Amino acid sequence: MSDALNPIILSKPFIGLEKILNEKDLVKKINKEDTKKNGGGFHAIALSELKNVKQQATELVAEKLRKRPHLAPSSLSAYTLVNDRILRSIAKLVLEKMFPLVSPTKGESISVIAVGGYGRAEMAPYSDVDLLFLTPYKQTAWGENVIESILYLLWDLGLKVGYSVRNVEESIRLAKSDITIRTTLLENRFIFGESRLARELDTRLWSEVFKNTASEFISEKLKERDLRHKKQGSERYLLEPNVKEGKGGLRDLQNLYWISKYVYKIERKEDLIGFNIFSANDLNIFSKAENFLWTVRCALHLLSDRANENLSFDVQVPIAKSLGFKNTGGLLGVEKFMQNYFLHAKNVGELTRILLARMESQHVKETPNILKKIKKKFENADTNIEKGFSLTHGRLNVENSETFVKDPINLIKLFQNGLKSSRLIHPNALHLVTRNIDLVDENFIKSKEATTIFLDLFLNYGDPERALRRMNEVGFLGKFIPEFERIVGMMQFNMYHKYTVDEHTIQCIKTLAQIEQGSLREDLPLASKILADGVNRKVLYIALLLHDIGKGLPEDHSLAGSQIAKLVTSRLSFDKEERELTSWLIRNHLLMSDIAQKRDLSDPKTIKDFASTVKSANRLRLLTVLTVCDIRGVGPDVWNNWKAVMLRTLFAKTINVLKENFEAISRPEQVNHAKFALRKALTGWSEDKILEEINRHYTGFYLGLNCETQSVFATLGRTKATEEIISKIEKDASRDATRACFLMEDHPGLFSRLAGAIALAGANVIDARTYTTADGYATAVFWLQSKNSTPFEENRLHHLNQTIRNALKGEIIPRDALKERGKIRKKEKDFKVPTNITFDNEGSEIYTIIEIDTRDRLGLLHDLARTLTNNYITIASAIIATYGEQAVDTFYVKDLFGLKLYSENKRIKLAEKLKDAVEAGTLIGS
Amino acid sequence: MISEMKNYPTRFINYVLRILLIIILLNACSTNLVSTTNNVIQPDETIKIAVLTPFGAQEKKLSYIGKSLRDAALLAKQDLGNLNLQLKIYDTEGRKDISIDSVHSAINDGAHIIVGPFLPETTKAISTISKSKGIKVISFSNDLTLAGNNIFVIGDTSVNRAEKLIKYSLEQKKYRFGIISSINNKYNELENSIRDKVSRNGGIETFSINYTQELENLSEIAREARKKAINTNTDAIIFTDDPNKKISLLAAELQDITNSTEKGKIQIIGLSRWDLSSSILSESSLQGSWIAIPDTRFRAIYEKRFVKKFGYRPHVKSSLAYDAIAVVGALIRKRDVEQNYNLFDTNEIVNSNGFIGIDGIFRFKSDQTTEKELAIATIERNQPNILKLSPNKFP
Repeated sequence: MSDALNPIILSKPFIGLEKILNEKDLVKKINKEDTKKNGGGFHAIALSELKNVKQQATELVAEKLRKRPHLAPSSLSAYTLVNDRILRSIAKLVLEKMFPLVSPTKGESISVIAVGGYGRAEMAPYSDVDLLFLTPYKQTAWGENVIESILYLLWDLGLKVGYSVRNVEESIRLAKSDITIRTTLLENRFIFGESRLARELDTRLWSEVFKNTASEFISEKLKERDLRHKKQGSERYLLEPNVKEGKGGLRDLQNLYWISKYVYKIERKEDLIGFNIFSANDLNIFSKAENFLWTVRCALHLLSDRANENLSFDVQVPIAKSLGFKNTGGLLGVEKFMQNYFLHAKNVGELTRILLARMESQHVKETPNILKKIKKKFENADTNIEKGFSLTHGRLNVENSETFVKDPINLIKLFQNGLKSSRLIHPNALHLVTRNIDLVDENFIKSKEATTIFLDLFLNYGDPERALRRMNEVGFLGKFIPEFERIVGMMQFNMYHKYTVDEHTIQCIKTLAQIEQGSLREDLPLASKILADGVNRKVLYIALLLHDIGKGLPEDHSLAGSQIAKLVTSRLSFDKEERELTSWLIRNHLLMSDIAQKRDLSDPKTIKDFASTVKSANRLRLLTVLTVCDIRGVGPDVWNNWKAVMLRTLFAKTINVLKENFEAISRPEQVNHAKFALRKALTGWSEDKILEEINRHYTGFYLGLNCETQSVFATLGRTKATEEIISKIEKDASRDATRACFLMEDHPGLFSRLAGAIALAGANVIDARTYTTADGYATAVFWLQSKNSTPFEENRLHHLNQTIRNALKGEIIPRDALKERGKIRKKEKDFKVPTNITFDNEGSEIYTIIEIDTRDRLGLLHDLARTLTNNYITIASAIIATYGEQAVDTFYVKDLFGLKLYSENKRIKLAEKLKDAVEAGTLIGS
Repeated sequence: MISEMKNYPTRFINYVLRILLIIILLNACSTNLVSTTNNVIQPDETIKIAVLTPFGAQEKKLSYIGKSLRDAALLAKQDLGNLNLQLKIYDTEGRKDISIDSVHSAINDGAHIIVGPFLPETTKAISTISKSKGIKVISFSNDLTLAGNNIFVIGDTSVNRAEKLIKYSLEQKKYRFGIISSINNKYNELENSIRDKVSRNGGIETFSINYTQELENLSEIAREARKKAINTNTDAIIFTDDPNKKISLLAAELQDITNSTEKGKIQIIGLSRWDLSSSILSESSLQGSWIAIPDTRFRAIYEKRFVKKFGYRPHVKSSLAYDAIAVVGALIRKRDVEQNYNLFDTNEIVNSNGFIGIDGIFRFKSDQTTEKELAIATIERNQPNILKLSPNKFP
């Protein structure tokens, strides 16, 4: 407890600190400077000396850490020593120099005590300095002055101080009533002042507070932990975890140590082995994780120059680099680093949960034996659980661990029974699986019995997610499907994916199960109907389980995945047809989403090409469901009406083609249908006017826009053309977007001007079409979303329209005005998005399709469109798909003569100019 | 005007100085209202005040403000002498998460009232806790939308200045107001409040024009404003924006119709603290404008004492912390005199007689915003000259 009993032991690299931080010399020097009185009061003199010493000391530690980041675990005591010595010097100066007492009263004494992490002597570079100022009775004016002066010096030194001022009685009372305060006081370390007070507090804490309250403490800590994880489990923390508070973070480890101390009075985790809580193997896992986490935390503090605990995207790359992770094959260094992080965190998170629960059960008041037996019989009777399993406190447990591990099949049966009985699995049983994971060997994963149960988990209980999650957490899934292990905790370093690959996979399967249950019928009518009509569920579930299994390999992940899937499905005894089907689905799992989001669905060629790849209605049905689950599994906000409408349209058009044996409805027929519909929509128009309107437009207008949008243009055309720009902006609810229609005299560059004006107004374009009328007007439609990917609110539409019009009329050059605002946020600068430009002359009958895949930014569409216009390319439509920081802008274009871009030379030159346009506008903000 | 200053009762100032600038309840009348909370405080219980300021913020300016606020609170505590209260300082770093944590630990530590935080977003972040835990907060923010849910907003607000300026204008027989404001996040709310103040006090709003931050066609906007002002017989034009170049440019374009020293010309009114911007003060087209400024008589003394104790010049907003702590002190004194142990009831804090603060008198209103009395000044020879002194008690 006191310094004398528990001296801070420095490890070798930091020995030099002792010399810098000699308290006696420091105090002497300050006193000497003070007697010289060269300007400034005592506070200023003390401050400048202390600052100097603190800087030297912390720089010495930081310097070593920067060179050898893996020294971090042993730097914790070094940082503690720095704070101890500084604090002790300050306390000494304040007590002896500033407020000396000649004959102190009984109340005039004070004890400075380190608590919390500081009390435990585990300090990262910028950890808080948590202090307790302990007074004997009521606070005195002298005490107040002393504390304020100490704090003031600490504040001015830039230390983050958390403090409380209490007397012993208050401390005991608060520790009894408040679990946070109790935990903080558990780690108390005397620093300076009246040591008797500190001793009194410690003794009373143990005898009056900690004694006989172990089970209460444990269950409170478990509750607190669940709450914290819930908070930290929300989406924004998943890929940017909090090293301290996150699941599997340092707080989890500390919890374990606190409880060990509280319950067993032990300080070192090694001692836990003796209490049958830890195995040597557990200890090894923990030590590795602990060292890793402290290394990351210290690196994070030093990099950020503050107590930053959030491993956000912008720091992941530099930290991965500083810890020596390098890019290889299909994985970036940062992705490897984060996978390491997630695996350690997973180990810590799960093992601490299991171990804490075990400690809890050791301390739960036991029910008398006879009662227990009756209760057990009763509990087991009403659920269908197999022999060998039983319930403990309502959780599925293993009757006898020795017999359990004799037959490896029991390992997977545990999860099956968990689903069957709808019971949660007891931590002890899970730990048993972890400890005996080696039983899952080659023979086991091929055995008919095991694979049958494995498929059973997906198909028969309606909640495969729960089983999968548990299997993954204890490492069973990665052993049973060894190919899966590689993607466990694998991060994809971009802003689109909100989960690691394994978590994404589980989310997809969860979605599929939800659709099957019918609970998403309103959101996903098509997928719900397909499943209700019946498909090969086995193929669908396993295809989803394996769809991203090729991630992180050097080759294309769809192709690699489809090869891996062949091996896995043959182990799972799929027949040949099912194997082929699964593999095909995985190879093409991005196809449908790509076509729906990046191609013009009104172009019959698009549908024809897609249909010829899919070939059968059965495959289309499966692929549709797979695509929906895959998109929804990316993150909560990725799926929207816009995507839904696109996929539904693609499905409907394709199934028609497939059913009618590859003969699409002919273009003229479609156009006639559309004209007829528009005619009907124009109620109250005279026949002449209707004819005039209908003849104004060419085929593309009828194929590309729906009837409602066509009517908007018809109405706009009738408003008297006194204004140069005629526009209408309104919400398009069916597509989760705002639709902006413009009717203006056509001229080259109109599209890029509109795109520029829209960007200036701060709107994102997600889709755009423009058609020229027979009488020389342009009918341009843009679908817009606000910055948070939602339609603009009703009351902002007027302002939006006004801003666009002003920009169109004004003399502002959007390019310059946008430059500042289009800057990439610093936090996002590390996401590398290479620019890829492809030309496709086959995808459409009349247009060349240019697809530009690059980093998204404000004004990108304008820059690209301007470049095309400047090179005499006419834009018919633009389709924009975004994936986090990545955008894919697809243009359907013709050249000056109305032809496709046939010359390869021209295409290469154009590609270069487009690339220049992308790069010229890419700036990184500060 | 200057003679008015001299006539100001010096006895009053001396009185205030004698009690070391400590705020007193003005004519404290006892309003023994029935308590609505259970937080009855024991007769001799130490009152614990949690002070939240961003003194450890990354941003230099914010940390300076935070430090000034923190030290102003310490100064106030010292001035309250041996009153039975305890301050505990929390560093929010200007961050929401830390502010929330601070409030939780303050409540754990038994705080009776929270003073701070400073930023609107940190104040907002803690509002759910203050509501659910029933603890009162005196926030330094000047965002009116945050008032309520046990949060009192002590900051100086444009809406308060608008009220004082509009009332003064009406006294000067100027009834018809045009409003020119920039479109930013707050304009809508501010504009609505001004509209409300105009109509409630019997004035008429003649037009309102917005300019955006994005587009710079200011002359067009000036033309429109001129047209509307003339057509509607406007008496005064209110500029709502914080001091910036656009105000000067617009005013310059309107100069021929707004030179307010002549009769029949349109009066310019500035809602923000133009007195703190030397470029606005020295703008020739803004000479003659009206602005509202706080009472500055006690500030010099306060700052001098601050510098003496802490060795640096405090930020202008630091007085908010001083005033807030002093309000708590005044309430404790009142408890000791009146034996009323629900001292942090809303009814106690909302005191119609108000308090004397560093910047003049103020009171909390039942909507938990602050009303401050202000002086009205005009810009003359590049500096503010007082037209009407800040009153020393509420009407």
